[in-house]
Amino acid sequence: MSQPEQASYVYAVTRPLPSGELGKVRGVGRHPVHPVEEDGLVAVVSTVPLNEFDEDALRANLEDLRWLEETARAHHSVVEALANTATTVPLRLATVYRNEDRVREVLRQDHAMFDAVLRRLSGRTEYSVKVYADPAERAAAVEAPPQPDPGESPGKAYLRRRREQRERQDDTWRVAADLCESTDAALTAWARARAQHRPQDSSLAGVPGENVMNLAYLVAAEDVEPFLTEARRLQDRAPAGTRVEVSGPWAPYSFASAEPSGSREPDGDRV
Amino acid sequence: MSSDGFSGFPEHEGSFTGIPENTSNLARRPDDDHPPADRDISLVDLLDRVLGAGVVITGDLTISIADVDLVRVSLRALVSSINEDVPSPWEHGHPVRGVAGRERT
Repeated sequence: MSQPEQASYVYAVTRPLPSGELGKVRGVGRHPVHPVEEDGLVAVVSTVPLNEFDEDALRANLEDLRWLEETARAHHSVVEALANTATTVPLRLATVYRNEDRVREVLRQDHAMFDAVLRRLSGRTEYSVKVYADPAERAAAVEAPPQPDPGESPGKAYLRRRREQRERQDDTWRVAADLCESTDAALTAWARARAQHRPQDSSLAGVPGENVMNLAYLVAAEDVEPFLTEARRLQDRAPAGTRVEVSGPWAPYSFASAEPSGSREPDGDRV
Repeated sequence: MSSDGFSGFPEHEGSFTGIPENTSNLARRPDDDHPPADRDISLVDLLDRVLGAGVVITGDLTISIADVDLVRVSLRALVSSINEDVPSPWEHGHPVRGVAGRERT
């Protein structure tokens, strides 16, 4: 039986790495990972069976949640391992070429773009900041008056409390909008760029509340500490029924593109 | 394109000398024997990044990976009660070169 046809799965592009750097890293499908160097750039690649990544297979596989998750985690762990040691331009999941000659060709073709992005990302990492709003939680945080009005009937008191809860619930979005604005302003001051992601669907994310803001910030090494201090301050001061979540450092996925894109804020990430 | 390129952002005045140099957050060289554990990252957060971000360059074999719609379909399967317009966190635009329009299957 002949060897199944192979293809080259590319995770990321970096500058040339010290030899042996990728020795123990495993990629998608537990395949080993190796550098493909061309013209001062390195594509980090796994040789994968073509029949797992050709168009038909990919269609089916992307619908297979288990495959998707395993592949996404494997892709991410290679990108992370690289980002830990060198400036890294992460590629989108499942970028596959017929062979390594094609990978080299792409590195030659897009050399200027990769070079510019690598220079821009040098010494910077990405932090994710999400703001959530939870009207039910905000309403529940309405306190009972310490001194009930003796002249008020239990029925009236109940209705009044309900009304207050409803008002709190209704003002959740305004409070959350203010929080988004102040959070973004305070953190943008410490960021070299920001990118906007679409808010996550709460049922998919499996966390309470509604994700009302989903931003990524590119932060220079020397600004990480003040950025995180500011983020913690914002977290601590978030009004009842809202919260700020911060994660990172991430490899700079959200800032890897060479050109500004339509979905980013007009004032953001002008490159 | 200039190499610093972030005209939208104020350059910092750089008077951080009073702050002790602590870049441990960025010095992330992992222990070689223990690749970064990422199991605690939620799939949705991960897909935000590995599908929603990262450079999109046209692969040879994934020309129609405007197939992000298929991923949306697969995630939608997670939540049976979801409506048609489930927001797809990874679908915000990025420069997509040579990629065909999205397909419905």
